[in-house]
Amino acid sequence: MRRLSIYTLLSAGLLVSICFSLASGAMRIPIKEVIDTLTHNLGFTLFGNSDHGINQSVIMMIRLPRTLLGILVGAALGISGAAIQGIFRNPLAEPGLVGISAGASLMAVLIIAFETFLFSCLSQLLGYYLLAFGAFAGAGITAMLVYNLSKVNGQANVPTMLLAGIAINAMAGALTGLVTYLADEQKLRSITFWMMGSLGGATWQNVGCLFPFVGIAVFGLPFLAKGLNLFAIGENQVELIGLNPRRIKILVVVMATMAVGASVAVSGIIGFIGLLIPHLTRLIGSVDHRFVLPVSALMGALVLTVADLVSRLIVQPIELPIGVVTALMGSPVFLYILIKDKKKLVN
Amino acid sequence: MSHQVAGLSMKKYYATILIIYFSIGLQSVKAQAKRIITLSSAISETVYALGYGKYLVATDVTSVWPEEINRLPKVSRNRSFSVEAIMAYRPDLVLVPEGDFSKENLYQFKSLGIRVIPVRQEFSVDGATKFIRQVAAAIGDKARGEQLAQQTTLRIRNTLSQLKKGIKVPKVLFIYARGVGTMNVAGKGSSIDALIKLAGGKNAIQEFSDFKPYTTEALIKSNPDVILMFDFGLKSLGGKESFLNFPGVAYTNAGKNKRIVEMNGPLLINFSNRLPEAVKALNIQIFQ
Repeated sequence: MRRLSIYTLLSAGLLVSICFSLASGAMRIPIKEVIDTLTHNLGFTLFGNSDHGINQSVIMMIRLPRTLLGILVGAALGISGAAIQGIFRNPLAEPGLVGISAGASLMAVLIIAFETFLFSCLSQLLGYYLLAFGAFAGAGITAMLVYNLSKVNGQANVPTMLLAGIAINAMAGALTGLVTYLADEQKLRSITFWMMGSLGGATWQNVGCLFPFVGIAVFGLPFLAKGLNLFAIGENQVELIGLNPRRIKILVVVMATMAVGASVAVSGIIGFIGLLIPHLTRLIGSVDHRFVLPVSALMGALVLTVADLVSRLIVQPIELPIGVVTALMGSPVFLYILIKDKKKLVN
Repeated sequence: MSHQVAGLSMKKYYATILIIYFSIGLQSVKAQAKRIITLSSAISETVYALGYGKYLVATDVTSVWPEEINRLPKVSRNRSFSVEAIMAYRPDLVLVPEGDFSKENLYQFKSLGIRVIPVRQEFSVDGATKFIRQVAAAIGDKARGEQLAQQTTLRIRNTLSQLKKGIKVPKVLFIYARGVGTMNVAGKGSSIDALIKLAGGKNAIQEFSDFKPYTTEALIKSNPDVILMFDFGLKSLGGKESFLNFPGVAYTNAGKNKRIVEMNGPLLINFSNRLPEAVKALNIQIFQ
């Protein structure tokens, strides 16, 4: 009953934030025109550019892809954060903190820097896929690395995990810095833009490119929720019930890093969503992964849509990088978890 | 009778031709941009010099010359902008330095039906006139562009022939400063490098291209005769007196002779119609 109302509330919230996201921006577009445009386009083709003036085009070509990108990236970061925390059995295991995002970004930066050199023949769409797969590979490799580094006697050790995260973040940061010194100014610009994180580059093309990556994670990960619940008790518990812990682990990491990697490839680094969202989810509901995973996706989509709205509206007509907004929202939660769990961490 | 008919059809023929010409004429008038957004100071200056300043509806934060441009809203800061914020001014032409818009942004504007013209800038005399012609062509007034390009060529030739010269070519080090922590020096191939050469000097840095971080050792090694900075750059380091006390500065010729020169940023690097003024101003400063 409680879960049902949480689902309903979050869905309603998401719907409201989508409406706000479509209706507000630097252009003053009357709400009636927004609704007109949407219904008109739903009646016909979704990609149709009906000749009703520039307002309609702004809604269809700028705001709608951007809103969808926010939903996809938010859902991806939320559910991956929850899944990775489940595998690590720790609420601090956030893709950004433990170096997974940094691994993804390093790969992506390398690809940007050597793009013309290696893949000049690739089309724009193929370029996106290459970036997405590269970031995915980077994310996957670092996730495995951190996991194996932090394992002591088959248990993930929290301080080691966080320290490994610091080390990997530092290493990826240094290598990224090195690449930026070798890159020419043009590349440097796209690299810095991209490190800041933004949904501003949303087009139907990259939304379409991201969709399968996020879709697989959002629909696939909840099927592993039971396994993750057993993980919380201990790896041997998984075996007892006849499941293969190694397989679950690999499946979770692959799906989660696939979603994170592809999101990072399209929108750059947007931190703290993966930390904030699962924590809030556990706070309002339960620690049951059958609940945490789908709700994290839903809430991630909601929070990122709101964060994007803030980043667009707060310093008009210029935009605040969305990473700044999410860090402002997420870092206090990080501190709160630290303070609350201080005793646990020391022991 | 048949003659008359032929005459009539000839008239019709001429009338049609006239209408076609007229409509082409109208078309080209229509194609002339009426709501322009410029996203760099070089482009803004050029648009004003071409006489189309009154059509500007918004610009970027670096565009501060001529004075009247400051009445316009600034829609871009350090290459950070939002497509929608630009759209809010309903432009029919957006002029942007080549490379400032990502592929995604260009695609977004294209799907909105807005004409975006990336303008290429090369740091040479030819580059400046090419730049003017590009901007003029984008606006739809090639004739005025040709005129301004030729004027600029003439003026730059004049300026170059009247430059001061010394016994030796002074070595100039350009430092781009944004406070003590962020100091970069201009290497080869940069806009400043080209301007120093035009003004009769020699870039003190010959080892690398573009901008690289400033180090005390590199400063001493390059031993410049003149150190050049943007006015806001020198201010960010606490002014001339403060900079003379920076480590290593006293060991250079520039430091010994107190030859620290500050100049207006956009004037120095824009390489457009104000290039002659820039060359002349820098020449006077380095051969003081």
